[in-house]
Amino acid sequence: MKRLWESGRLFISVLSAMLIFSISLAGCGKSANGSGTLKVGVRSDIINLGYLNEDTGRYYGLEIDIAGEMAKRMGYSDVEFIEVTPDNRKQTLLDGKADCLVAAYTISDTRLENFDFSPAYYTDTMRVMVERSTMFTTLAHLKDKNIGVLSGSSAGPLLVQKMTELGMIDGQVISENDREILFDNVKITRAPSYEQLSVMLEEGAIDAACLDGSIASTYMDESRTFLDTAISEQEYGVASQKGSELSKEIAGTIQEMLDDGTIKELIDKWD
Amino acid sequence: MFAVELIFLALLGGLLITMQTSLSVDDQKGNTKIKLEQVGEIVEQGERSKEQTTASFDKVYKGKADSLSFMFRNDVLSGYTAANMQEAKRLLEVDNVAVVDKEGNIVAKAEDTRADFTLSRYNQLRESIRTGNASDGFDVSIDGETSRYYASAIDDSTMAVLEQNTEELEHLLDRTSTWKSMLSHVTVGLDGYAFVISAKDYTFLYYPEEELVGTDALSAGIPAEELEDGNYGWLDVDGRRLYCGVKMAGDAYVVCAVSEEEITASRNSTVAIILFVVFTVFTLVITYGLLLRQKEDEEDDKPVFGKFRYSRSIGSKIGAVSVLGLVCILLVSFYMQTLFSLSRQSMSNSQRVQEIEKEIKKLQDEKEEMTELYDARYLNKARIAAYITEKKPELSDKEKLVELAGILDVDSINVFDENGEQIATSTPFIKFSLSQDLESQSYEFNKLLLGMEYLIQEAQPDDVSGKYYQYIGVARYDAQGYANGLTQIGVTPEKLEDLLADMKIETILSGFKVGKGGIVFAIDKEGHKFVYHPNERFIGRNAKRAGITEIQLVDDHVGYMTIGNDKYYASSIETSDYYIYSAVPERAIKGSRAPITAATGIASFAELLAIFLLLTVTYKTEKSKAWEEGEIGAASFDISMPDGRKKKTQSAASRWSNEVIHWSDKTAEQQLFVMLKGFLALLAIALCVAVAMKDTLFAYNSSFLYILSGKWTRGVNIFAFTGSVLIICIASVITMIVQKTLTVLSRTFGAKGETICRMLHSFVKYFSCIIVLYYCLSLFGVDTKTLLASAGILTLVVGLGAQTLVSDILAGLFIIFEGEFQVGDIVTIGDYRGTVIEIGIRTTKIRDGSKNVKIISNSEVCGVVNMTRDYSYSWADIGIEYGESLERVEAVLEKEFPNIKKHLPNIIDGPFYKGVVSLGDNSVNIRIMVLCDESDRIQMERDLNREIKLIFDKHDINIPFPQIVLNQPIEFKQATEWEKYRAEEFRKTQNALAGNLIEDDEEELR
Repeated sequence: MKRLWESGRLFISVLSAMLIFSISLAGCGKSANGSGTLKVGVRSDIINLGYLNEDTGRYYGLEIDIAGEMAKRMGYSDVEFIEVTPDNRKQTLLDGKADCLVAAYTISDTRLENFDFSPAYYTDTMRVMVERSTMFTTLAHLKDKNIGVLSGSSAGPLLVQKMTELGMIDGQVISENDREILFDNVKITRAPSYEQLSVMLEEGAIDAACLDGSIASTYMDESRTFLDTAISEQEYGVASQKGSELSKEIAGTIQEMLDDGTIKELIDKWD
Repeated sequence: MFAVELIFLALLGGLLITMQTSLSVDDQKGNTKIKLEQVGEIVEQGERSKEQTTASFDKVYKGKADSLSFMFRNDVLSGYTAANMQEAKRLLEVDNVAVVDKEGNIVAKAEDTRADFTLSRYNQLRESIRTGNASDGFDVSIDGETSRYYASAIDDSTMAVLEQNTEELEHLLDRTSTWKSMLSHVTVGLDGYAFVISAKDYTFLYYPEEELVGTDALSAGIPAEELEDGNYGWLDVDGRRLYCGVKMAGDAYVVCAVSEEEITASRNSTVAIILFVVFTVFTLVITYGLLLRQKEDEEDDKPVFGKFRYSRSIGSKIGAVSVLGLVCILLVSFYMQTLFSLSRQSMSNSQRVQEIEKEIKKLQDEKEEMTELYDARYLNKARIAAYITEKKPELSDKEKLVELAGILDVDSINVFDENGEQIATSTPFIKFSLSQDLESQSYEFNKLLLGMEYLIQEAQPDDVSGKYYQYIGVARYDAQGYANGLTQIGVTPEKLEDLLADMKIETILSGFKVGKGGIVFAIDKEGHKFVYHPNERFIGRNAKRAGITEIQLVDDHVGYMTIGNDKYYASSIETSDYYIYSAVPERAIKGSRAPITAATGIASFAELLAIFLLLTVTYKTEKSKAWEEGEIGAASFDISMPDGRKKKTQSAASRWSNEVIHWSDKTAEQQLFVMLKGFLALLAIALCVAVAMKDTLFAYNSSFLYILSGKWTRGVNIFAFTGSVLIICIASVITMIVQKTLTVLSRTFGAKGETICRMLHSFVKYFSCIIVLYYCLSLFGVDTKTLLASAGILTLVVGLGAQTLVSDILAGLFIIFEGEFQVGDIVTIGDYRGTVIEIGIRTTKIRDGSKNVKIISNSEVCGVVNMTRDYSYSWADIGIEYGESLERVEAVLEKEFPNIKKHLPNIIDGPFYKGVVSLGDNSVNIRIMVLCDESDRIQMERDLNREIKLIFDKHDINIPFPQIVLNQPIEFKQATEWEKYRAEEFRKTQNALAGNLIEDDEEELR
């Protein structure tokens, strides 16, 4: 009997040894090889891209996931999200309140003068949204009309550029204030938020709204439509302080994430 | 050893839970998939319904806009005055009317509006002027108020605009095409549900719990990556774990979810019971093995591998128990699986038929609501037509009426005068007048000429075409307010026709999908014909001829049924006209039980094998002498069976006493049996507790509750079997408790109490048996009342015919039940003594010492003396002479007793000197007694006598015996003559002397 008991005990000890081994294996993956916190400026108002849930205080969206994955790969143990708006994001980065911006920040020549950008992780199309009841179908219909854009976004300048290219306007600002910019054949109204932009479109206060496709889809419904003319394609990149060490690291990491399909996966996830 | 057992149990438990879950999940995945398809269709249907509802709403309001512009054009309303606008608003029953110029400036209006028609937002209204047709409606929300706008051109530069709050439209859409209306009646699995998450902002668009609607799904715990079309998996929603299937529908993800509890509901009890059985078997095998190891010697061990030895005797015994155990495990596993799948299927089948019933109810409600809605719309059209023809009688010509009929979207407009004569019509049928025939359709409209304001006739099929047609009339009044005619419109209630078509059972049932290749079908209550079956071949065929029996044609039938060549498991429901069934093919249900049973079997086999080896194969060690022979106590001993084998038994006397054999006195088999009984008792108690606390222990949809609910059809099926097992468990637990109480009581009270308690004890046993039998039979669908009634007749038959046979059988049962004797016992029945070799159904066979077999009818078994005890007594009574010194004899016996034992090895104990039995006539009788086996008793007596005789001879102790003393015979002398004479004289003298003295007794004799 004693022998039997011992054979049973042997069995248990083998089992427990296996268990301990497997636990220690699992433990290996979690070694802390990085430290510090990466401060990332993100948007809080774009669902699927960067959105803050007021109730839980949690951010989510494609850019949040990219920022998180990027920080992890760069060896940071933690990520702090800092809420930025189109109006204040430039200053936030310049002031060093954020280490980088993953905030639907379009890569443009003017911005490249001030900041370093990673390779583009997402390409968005800027479009014009109208109510179907206006019967507008092309950009040409918007002559002499009132077009809304989000204050501080790149939509305004790009729209003006496009309309100028098409010869609808001469591109000269006639008058400009916080609320609106007047051109010879078109008026551009600045809305403080996308929410407000959508309300103005609904009530007819503006005749059309120009905004990024990824954002527009949130406000799209069956009574609205996009004009068939795309305003521009724009590429979002991670912006960081010009010439900083971080810039190279970010660029490398984003390139790696593009190469191994991580970003494609994340885009699919948030699609 | 037991640690090994626990590990094995844990492994098996893990395996079972995993398998069962994955099978349940697979099963659910199939069901969810089908449900998602169905939901997809519902959503599409909802989309269509939304379009239709909106289109028909728009059509009505466009008609109103058109009729407004018609009135302005034809001077029914002359001039854009505020009064006219108010009048138009009232007549058209809209929120606001306005006349607007091409640029959007308001010319006239009934009410103030928030809308600024000059904005390009309202461009669509201007389309009416461009195209000449009324513009389609569109919504504009301003400050939270949503209105819908329509326009109809009055001329090239002005248009009539209608503004209508969307409340009515939203209400209509709420009913048919909102997520809630579409999905609230969808049930997934048994109590799963569907919910919707916006693909735009990940908020809940619909969730059965209202408070979640509008909240963020991602923060509720749903990961964004799981929300992909065609994805199946586990999601955590608001702290609940759900098995979900996702389908993309438009801008939303529709999720069909089933709670984890539902999937695991019956799993735990199923696995628990299987594990319990496995545990019992393992424990018994191990305990048995260990006990055997203690008691068996290791002489027949066979070396197998190096120093390892295999114990053959233990091996064969454990092997037998293990095989038996394995069979039990397989049976229980298979049984539990069957029970599990059948009860689940029953529940989901009845769920489905209830859904169908709900759907029928919903359509009926919808029909009523629709009729009401359309009646109101038609009435408004009739009123507009009546208003126009009243205000402007000259418009009552064919051309204008045709135009108006087009605008109002009605089939015909008829204008009648005060005599009921038709003045004008939009139809080709002229010269019509209201009929005075009571039976006629138009007769009713005469009421309008007698003061009734309006009349909405019910839709009725046209005599000629059979199409539904409906007439609505409104009275016209003259300037004094007297009815001077009526205007009537005729419409085809298409919507109603559609609805009636939708309400056909075929249409309803064809929309239902059942997982696992299941079907729904309906049978006409009257003719018992299939009215719907997915296989068209069956439609119209007689159900009974297809294999459905009469007892299956009822409400709430649950069970197997044959349709054509296929066997289905089905549930039914009865509606006013039909029996509706939801059925799943037999093979689909049975699919999962085989693999699980097999897995359980294989795993248990492997584990039993391991245990077997651990128990039988030992590493050679010093023989441990833990067990000492002869320890078997007084209450248990060997007897020989008819075939010569020795078996242990319990003495007859101790069987009925309350004494308990000491644990260590029992054999391994007896201990095993006690443990098995213990486990069974444990199971019974557990089941009792489960039944008593069913509401707290089980989710309402678990199989266990389903069986307890008794919603299944009575008959020979697994539910009846399970029900019986439960009843037996409960009854035996109650009986056990009562009996234990009685035993305790019997110890407390005196002899009388003991007697009563023993009688009650036996009464309780029989009573519970009868009750259990009665209930179980009723569960199996036997009509017990009839059975009881027919019992009387049966008694009569038995009384007349097979009386002895039946009494023999009953007596036989009682012998076994009461345990009067068992096979192997030594008994005396009547004056026949022998060993019981068989207790048959009719006779009992007893073999005596000379191997003769006596066969006794069971009914004649009476006055049984059960002499089975561990030892019998054999004694010899010996007489000694009165002259012999008793003390000397006793001293001799003391000296010689050990020698007797030596000479007679069959003596188990003794001999004992029992003292002086009697002081006899000729001798002093003493008794010598020995203990021996019952079978040796007779021979022992003889041997004992012999020994005593020899001892007494040796010591010159005389045993008195009857002695006869012989004497020499004497020669007798003859009488002389003298003597003869003297004697005669003497006699005579004596008689004379005694002459008067009559002796009393002589007198009496006379």
